[in-house]
Amino acid sequence: MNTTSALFALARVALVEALRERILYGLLAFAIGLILLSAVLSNVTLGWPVRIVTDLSLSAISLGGAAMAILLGVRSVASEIERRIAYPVLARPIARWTYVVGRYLGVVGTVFFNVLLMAVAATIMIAAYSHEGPFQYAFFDYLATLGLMSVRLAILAGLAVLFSTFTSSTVAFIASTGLGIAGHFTADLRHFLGKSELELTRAVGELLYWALPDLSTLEALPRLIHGEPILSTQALVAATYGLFYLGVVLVLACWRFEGRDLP
Amino acid sequence: MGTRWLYPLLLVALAMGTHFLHRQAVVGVAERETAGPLPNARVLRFLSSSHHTSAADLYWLKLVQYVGTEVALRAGWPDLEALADLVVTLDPKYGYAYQASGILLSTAGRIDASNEILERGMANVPSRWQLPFYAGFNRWYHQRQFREAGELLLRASRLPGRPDWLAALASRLFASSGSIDDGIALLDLMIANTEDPLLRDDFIRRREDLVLEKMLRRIEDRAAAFRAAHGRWPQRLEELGDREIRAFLPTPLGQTLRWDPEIGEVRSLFLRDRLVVHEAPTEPEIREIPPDAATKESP
Repeated sequence: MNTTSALFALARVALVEALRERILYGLLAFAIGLILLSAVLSNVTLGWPVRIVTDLSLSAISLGGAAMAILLGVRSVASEIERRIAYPVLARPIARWTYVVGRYLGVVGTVFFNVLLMAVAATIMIAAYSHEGPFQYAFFDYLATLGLMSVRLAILAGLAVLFSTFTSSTVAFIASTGLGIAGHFTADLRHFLGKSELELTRAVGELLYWALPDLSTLEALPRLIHGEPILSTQALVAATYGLFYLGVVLVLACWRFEGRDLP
Repeated sequence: MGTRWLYPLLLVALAMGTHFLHRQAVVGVAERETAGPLPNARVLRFLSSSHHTSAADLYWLKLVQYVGTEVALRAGWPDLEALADLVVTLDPKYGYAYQASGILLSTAGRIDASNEILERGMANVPSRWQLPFYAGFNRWYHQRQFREAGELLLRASRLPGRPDWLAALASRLFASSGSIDDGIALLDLMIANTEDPLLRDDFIRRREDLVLEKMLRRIEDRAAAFRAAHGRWPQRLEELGDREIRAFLPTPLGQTLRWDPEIGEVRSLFLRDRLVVHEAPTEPEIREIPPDAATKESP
């Protein structure tokens, strides 16, 4: 079995396993419920309801997707090791990095599949409430918003898999959730710590700024609902930055798992 | 009785208790004049991070429910400024929030607060024509500042998406004397061309105020003339013999009029405060100056 087919076989198994997780359906139901609720709430507002529907629906996808990425990611490797299911697979002639990347692809594939389902529901709702043409927003801007959101979710899944390679599911969950939240405050953190008179504090601020993911650069929803253009050079640079950061995270995950002693 | 019945009974008792307490809580909210404790806008903006627009939407929905609460409405919406500030601090580009808050504050008679939020909106969302338009409306309708009103409407008429009639309206405002007939004509133009239901309802209500004010003044004039001719106030308004007043009395607005024949006072149940209408300054009287006075120097 060559590396590519091993990678896809592992991804397929991880995807099928993830799709069996009951928590996934709970999160999916929660997010779709929130999308439907946005339509109900939009009826009690003043002005055009499409803003409320768009904002709450896409936020539901973002939050639901983030929860899926973290919960599935932290279980992808750690629980396989804890339950000793990984050993027969690793005994085969496949590289450890293939195992990590395969598991990651399975997780991210599951997340994207669910995001697609939620996005279909949200798109139908937005189209139903649009008052300027059949769809309120420029379609490519809308797709770019979902695309940037997907890159953000892929990074979160990557962080969860990274922690999952060297610690337990619980610790990995706490660490990746913390990093996911901190990733939205990276610029603020640098700004506030940069005001300190202590050189060390300012250096810590700089270090955190460069080490943590800047997830707020991958957020286009506010611009979409304000009717500002999204598909621009800046968005492409942000997406490329996200993919590079993801690459770094996956390399770290593979490196850490290669060096890990399995009992 | 074993545990077979214990759980269902416990469940029913707790469900009833929960329902009772919930009803009390809901009544408590509906009877509040205030919007309840509100978070610090800047802290919430920071904490909500990239979901700040969703947080703004949720507080916007709270604002809408608050202004629809009967008790808060009677109290004049004391927390309206705080809620509006919270919403636009969370999302400084929420154009409609500035616009609707401006209208609501103006309706509540807080014109300075209305102008303040509209001006904040003009700074943050400069492309939204409705903001200078409504700020101009405040200047014209409430503050009788016709030149400033005209300038704001002219500014609105240069923004994208504005209706074609805005430039004409600005010209009329520059030329307006501030008479009631001018006001009714301008509001007719605005009502005919406004799609926003909130704005339209507000204009219709203000037009009704002007129509009532016009009729109250007419009745007062005719009643004074009646008293001068007969030495008493008329017992009923129909006695005035004015065709326009007689035609107005059976209308829904006419039904709100109350005439007191003892003191000769007319009022409307609909119009709580009489409108003060600006009178155009009259030309200064030109007096003939005696030829010798023209040569004298003032001390």
